[in-house]
Amino acid sequence: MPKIQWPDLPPALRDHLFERLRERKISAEDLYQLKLWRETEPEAPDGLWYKDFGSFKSAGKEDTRRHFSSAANRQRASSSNM
Amino acid sequence: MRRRGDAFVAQDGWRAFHVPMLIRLLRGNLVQYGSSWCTFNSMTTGKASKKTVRRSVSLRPDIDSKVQVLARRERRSANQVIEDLIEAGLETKEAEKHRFFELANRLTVSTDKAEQHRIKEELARMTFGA
Repeated sequence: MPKIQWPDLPPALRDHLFERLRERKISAEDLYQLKLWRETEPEAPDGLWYKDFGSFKSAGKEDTRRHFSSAANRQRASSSNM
Repeated sequence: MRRRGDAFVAQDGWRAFHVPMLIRLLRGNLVQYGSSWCTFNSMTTGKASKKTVRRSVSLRPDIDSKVQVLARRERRSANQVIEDLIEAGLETKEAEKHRFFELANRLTVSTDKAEQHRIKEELARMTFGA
């Protein structure tokens, strides 16, 4: 099973994640959990996947990760869907 | 330190323990006082030394040969070398964690865009690797 590829994460996506950290929309503790998880070199399941880190979720497709979604974003998305 | 019978007397006047007794004391659970060579009125009943845990760990051959080389060079047992390396690794991890949270905190309070950029870059390196 392929491992999730982290180095080729788009800079804009990285910046978005750390901007949310700066705005305290996501917590440093949760981001640290992402770091610890990345260090385990996780394998990518087939198809779409996501992992919940509390104040944000990391989601992707197979061995690439394309999206970070903070709790605030999810709330906004769900209210716009209603 | 000079030897007197089974006890050792330190040159500064402190009387040391009978060596096998000292070993047992360091292993804990020894209560004895009043011996002619013992100047303490009471001894601890607590664990005087760190208890060790026997654990079986598998090492990759290349790591194992590096450990053996280190042990030979430093004239220590492979067990001691492995223990020191684990301890050093744990301290490094703890320092890295401290650095991560320090940076995250600095990012939230910084008003300087250039500094924010630098901190984000460093956090990205720590979070996602090189």
